[in-house]
Amino acid sequence: MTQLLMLRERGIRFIKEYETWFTIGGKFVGMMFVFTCINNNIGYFPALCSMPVTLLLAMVCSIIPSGFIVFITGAVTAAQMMKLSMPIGIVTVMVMLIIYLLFLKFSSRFTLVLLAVPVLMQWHLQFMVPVIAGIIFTPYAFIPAVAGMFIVKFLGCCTAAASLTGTSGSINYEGIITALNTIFSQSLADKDVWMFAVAAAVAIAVGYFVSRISFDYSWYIGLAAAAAAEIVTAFLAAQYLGVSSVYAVPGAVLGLIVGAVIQFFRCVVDYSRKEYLQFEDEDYYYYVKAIPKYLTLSTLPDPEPSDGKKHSVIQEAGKAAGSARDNMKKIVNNRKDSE
Amino acid sequence: MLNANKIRWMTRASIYEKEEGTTDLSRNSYYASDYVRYCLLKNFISVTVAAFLILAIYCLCRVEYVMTLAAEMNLGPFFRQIAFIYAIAIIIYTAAGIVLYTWQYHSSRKRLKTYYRMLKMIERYGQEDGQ
Repeated sequence: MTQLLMLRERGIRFIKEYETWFTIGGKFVGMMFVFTCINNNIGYFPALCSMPVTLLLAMVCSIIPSGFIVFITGAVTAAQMMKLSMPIGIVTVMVMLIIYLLFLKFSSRFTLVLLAVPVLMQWHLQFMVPVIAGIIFTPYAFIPAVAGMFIVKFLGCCTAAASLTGTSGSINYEGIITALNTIFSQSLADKDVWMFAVAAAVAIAVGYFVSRISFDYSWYIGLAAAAAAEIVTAFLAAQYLGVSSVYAVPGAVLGLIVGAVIQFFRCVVDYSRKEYLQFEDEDYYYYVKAIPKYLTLSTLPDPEPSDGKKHSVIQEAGKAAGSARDNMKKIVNNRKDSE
Repeated sequence: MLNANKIRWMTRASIYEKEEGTTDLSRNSYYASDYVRYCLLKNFISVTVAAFLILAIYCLCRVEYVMTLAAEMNLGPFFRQIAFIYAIAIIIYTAAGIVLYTWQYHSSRKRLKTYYRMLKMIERYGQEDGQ
């Protein structure tokens, strides 16, 4: 365990030392995943799908604040949809604006959740996100998680119905109305989104509240409870709605593992040394439970020194003790003189 | 000589300033009621814009139905229904906004109190260094 903790501490120190570069690199890799996902699924704009443009966009996103990343991603998505069909592109922009104004405005900090769901949906691992988000974020993370899933399904319906709107040369008005009716009726009635919404809401709430109860290993138990709650809720919702919940199990289990690793790097405490304190001031009486964090590198004992090193340490300690003794003698003599 | 405790407090203070400090300090420039009202106004504008967009999409999807109502000069009940739904949305968002923005303001005040305590500690260590 000590070896593992030292490894963790070294890892954290290394990351902190090059924090700026790690942040930029992480954002760059993440945005490459996002833009590749967009290009693979709705890549109708050849110029935006080319590798240099994707690299450039990912580089720009890696150095700008998270809030702007959502706007760039939205703009790229809208451009792709406009290339497919102008009316559908305009409706896509309107829908994204509605989602932002009504829901995402309250949870603009959770850009990561919003973008992670569509990327993970490629491998059917979207159920990972609520399990992790319940521990790391607040229950508001439910909104961007469901919004991300809804946008993917909505874009899927748009792509399927685009042929009804006519070619770019001739616009078919009746076709556009039929396409819009099809898109909204299909995307609002998509049972996968409803199942995910219910499972995500329960998982995030359970994870958040269990991890904040005061008992040992509450973070890890919170993760396990969130994963279990998500699987059970997804199963029940799938039974009720008549859809498949088979992807909930691998997603929740993987979310549990990844969440445990993230939590290990966020904070590790030593439950064997927990203390209960009671004290009071003018206004309150306090019952405090204090759990020390695990020893860090600076306080952990050094590895066994070699014989040469031991010898030099002993010599230095001897010198220090000698000089301390001399100083004490001087102080005592000075006192005697002054008396 | 470097004062390790002072550096520790300064680091904490600068981390806070970098992460949440800017938002908290800007919130602190308002009274609680003014901050909540200002956010509710923004909330109202957002909901209104979103409502117009939803109405536009609805009219596009149901253009035949809307045109029939217009031809029959019977748009009154339709608009009354829309106004009712809009009013309910505004009430829900305002109620949620009051709770959320009040909580946000008081959380910011709590964090700022801790931040001012940090600044006091830094000042105290600075005075000790001066002596």
